[in-house]
Amino acid sequence: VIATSIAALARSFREHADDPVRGLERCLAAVEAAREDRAILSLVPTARAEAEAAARRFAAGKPLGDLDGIPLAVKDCIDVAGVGSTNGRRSASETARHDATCVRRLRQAGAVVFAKTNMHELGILPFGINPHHGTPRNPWDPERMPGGSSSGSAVAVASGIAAAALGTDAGGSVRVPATLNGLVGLKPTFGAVPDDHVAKLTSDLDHIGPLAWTVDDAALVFETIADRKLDRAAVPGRVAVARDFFVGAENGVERVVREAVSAVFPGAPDVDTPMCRWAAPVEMVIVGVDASTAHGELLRSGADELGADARAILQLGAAITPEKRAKADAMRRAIRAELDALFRAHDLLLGPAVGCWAPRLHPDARRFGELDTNRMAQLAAVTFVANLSGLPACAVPCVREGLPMSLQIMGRAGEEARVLAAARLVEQRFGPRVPPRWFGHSVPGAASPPS
Amino acid sequence: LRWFARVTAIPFVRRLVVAKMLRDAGFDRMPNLDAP
Repeated sequence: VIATSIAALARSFREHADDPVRGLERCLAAVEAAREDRAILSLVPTARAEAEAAARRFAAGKPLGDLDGIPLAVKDCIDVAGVGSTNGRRSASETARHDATCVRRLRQAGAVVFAKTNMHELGILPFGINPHHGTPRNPWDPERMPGGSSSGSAVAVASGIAAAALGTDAGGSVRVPATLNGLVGLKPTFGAVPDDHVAKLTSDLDHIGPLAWTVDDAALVFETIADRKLDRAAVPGRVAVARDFFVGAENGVERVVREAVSAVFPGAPDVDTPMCRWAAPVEMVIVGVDASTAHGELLRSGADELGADARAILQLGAAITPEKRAKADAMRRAIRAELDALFRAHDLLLGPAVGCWAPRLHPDARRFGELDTNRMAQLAAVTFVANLSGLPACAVPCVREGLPMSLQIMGRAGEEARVLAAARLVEQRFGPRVPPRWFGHSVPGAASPPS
Repeated sequence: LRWFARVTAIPFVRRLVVAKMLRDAGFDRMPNLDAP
């Protein structure tokens, strides 16, 4: 059991070595200590009462399950009743009256949803920068991007502020920050998790998923928000490596990812995915059109309140013609068909989760945002493939030293159990690592590295 | 970037910029599977 994991917390609650109120208090202390790290935007006022109720259940020997009393955070585009959502904008919407279904399911399982996390404005880019609230600090290197758009969720977990968190992912926004912060990030099959009361970027690319320390933690959170049990006896099956996913990758990425594949899945063959190589321009067009349509009113009435990068993308998206959109949609269908054909011969498809190490954060980017489309494509082109196809994909850390890097594991629709079974094998080899900046208040005795 | 955000508010400019960005991203070289 990893000392930083949900499993460790749950065990300490069951054994009465710890309780949910003390767990929450440590998280709140971490929020205060990490104020300058800009991971957390707001606190949930009902959290203490929920922690106290969970503590009473443990005292009575009647916990609701493994999530009971666990302190979790959610991205600030997901509604939590009683708190406004900013969606990464300067100011919050009016106070939410209802929980999003995913949040309601977490709370019904006893989880203490105590904080809402910072993000790239509107979730529109994978960098995780926010000019309004400050950019969440990458605990591995403050000079580097945290990755996004669910940057605050990743930093909150990796820094030891929350036990796990929810993010949303329309183009890698769970898997990219999970990778850059050394966490497990799962983007489920499209439609597996209800997305009501969630601010979305597109019509059908957004997915809700967990960021966690361990594969089992991610699986537990997924099972809860999807209201579905995973087959824990699932096996990876026939594994292949998509060699096209390394095209354009930064120096060193292919070497470490292939070393990890060789160590965990020796003999996995390479396969070609020529249609998937077009994922970046296809994603750019679809996100541009959908986001400018969804936020057209915002652009007309409140453009000056937007960060420069979000504003520019919305404006540019409005100039994309229907013909270009139709061309992108056709290639999107071809990408899905290509993957469906591959998954007749193979069970899982491997590659890097991102194409570069955490990019350096330019001082101007902190103030105004970032709009380097080459960097965006290098960072997230591979993750785009899973959004465009709707297939499940998990990013799992695959290095033992240096900056984090992850393997991405994709599977057939609905086969999260198989994807996570493979991720568990990678985790057994490489394990979670604690970053240099770590508040460690989410578990007792957490000043020491996990064991 | 703030300057860029202001000039792309102009429709003519945004059409030019979109054309260049998509060309740079490889969109123009992508096979048009939507073509009749």
